Amino acid sequence: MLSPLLLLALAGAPESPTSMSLSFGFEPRFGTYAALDQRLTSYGYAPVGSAFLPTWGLRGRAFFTPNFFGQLSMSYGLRVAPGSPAPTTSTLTETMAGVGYHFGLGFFASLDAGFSAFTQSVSSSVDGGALVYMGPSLHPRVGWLIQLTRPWGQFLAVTAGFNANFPVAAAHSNPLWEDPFTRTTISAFTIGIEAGLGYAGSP
Amino acid sequence: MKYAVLISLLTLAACSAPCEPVPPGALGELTQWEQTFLRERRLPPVASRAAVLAEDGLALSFTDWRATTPAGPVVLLVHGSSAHGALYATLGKGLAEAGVHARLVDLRGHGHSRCVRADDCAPQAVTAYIDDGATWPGRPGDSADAHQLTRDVQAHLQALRADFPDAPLFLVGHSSGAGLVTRYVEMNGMSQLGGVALLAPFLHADQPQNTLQTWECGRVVGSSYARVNLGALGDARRGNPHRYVLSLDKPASLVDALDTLQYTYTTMNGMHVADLDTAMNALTGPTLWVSADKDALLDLTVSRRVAERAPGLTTFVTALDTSHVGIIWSMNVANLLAEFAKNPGLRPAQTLAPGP
Repeated sequence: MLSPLLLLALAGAPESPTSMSLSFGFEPRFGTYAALDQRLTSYGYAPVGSAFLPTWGLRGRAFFTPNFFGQLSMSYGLRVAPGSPAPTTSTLTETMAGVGYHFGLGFFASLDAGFSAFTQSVSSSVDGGALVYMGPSLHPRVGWLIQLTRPWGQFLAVTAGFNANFPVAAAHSNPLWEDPFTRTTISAFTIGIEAGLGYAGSP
Repeated sequence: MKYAVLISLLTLAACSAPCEPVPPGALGELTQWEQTFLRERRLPPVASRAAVLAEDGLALSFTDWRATTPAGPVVLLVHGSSAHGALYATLGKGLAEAGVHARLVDLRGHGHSRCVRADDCAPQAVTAYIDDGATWPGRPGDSADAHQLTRDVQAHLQALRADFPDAPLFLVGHSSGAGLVTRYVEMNGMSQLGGVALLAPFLHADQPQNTLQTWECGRVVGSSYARVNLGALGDARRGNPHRYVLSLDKPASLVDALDTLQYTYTTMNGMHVADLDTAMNALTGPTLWVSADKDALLDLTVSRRVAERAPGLTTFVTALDTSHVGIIWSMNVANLLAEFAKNPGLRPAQTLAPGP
């Protein structure tokens, strides 16, 4: 997925304000993922049972000035809640674009906007299917970053943020569910740890 | 950037597109003679009523059309979905005049075998179908379980056998009523029967002979006449079987005050066979199958193909210039039924002239 040649190219890029970085992050979310549990249970499905959703992602940043950057990211979340006859599986796929600013001393803030698809697949003894929520999402973050090798090379960052996605239209089209399982917002607090390679902002 | 905005707007527009509403009901066009029949109100008036007590104490109403010559065969005629026995008076009268005793029943939850409330069984129109999952004997369009209607048919047959100890008994059904007749045979065999006659039978929801459509974003499925609310169906399958899942929508010209236009899950299942293969194999005795060539709900070719699976099929008859509804207004059909009841032997396939 991530070409070694690209990594080499990034690592070997000349020192410049218009530099880039690529990072991998583990960003668990604590949100309203179990909000439907009562209804899921009444339909004979296994409840989600937890606000926790482990999420992983890739992020690429490009610096337009030593402090100001734009970023693209992809995130994937997965959690399986055991149940009979089938577990309830929550999956999140999110693609975002955003901008951020380095304030100095490693502190930065960013705001991402993008598109999320959150799915809870369920099954009971008589029917099943997937609740699919798709729509725009927002994710503001603050973080602190340490560049291990300056001004280029490896860096680590910790972040905290809030993610909100706003599903559009009905959750699904499975007609055997009388309840449309409509949700207007799926929100979560996030904490993240990120390891990357490249230029990560001015010291 | 402008392309991204455009794509986003198109996506949102697609997601929020309005769903197609359920159209007004239709049973297909009536043919010329059927329109005349309806316009001139040619349905014979019903004679006095009687009742058989069901297993739960409900009075199962029926009308007898007594044969002019006694000691002939006896027919128990089961009406189709939404209807009741009085609408089949043409067949009753025709059978009686041809020397066959005809008993036209009102199935539980229909016509005069209907109680709009648990303590109110007087014949009256239903003003609202309250879909709260409750159940009581005679609740409009409801039954205790999917087999109760066949047990009711059995009660009628026992009563007829008591009244006519030596006469051959025939079961005749129309549309979903033929579905119930076939279900009865599927469950009980044909040993008690001299034969069965199926008029434009609708046999199994899993193998519909008409083109199904969907409305309201796929939450309603069926024909323009019979629609299943899939949300209620899901709830019924999850344990609330007395939910109204099937809506029957007739054009205003065909609606009768005693029609039953909503069915619960139990009654919907009770009025067609449990398994089509088993049911067709169970039709081992004399079986008359009558289809209408202008039937908007059932395809004639498919009907013939299904009919040929019955080991006991004696005749497949095509009623010409006749619709799904008009088949029960035809004196020619009545005469055919009488002929079959008197002599249920093998005959070649034939056509039936149109007209009342």
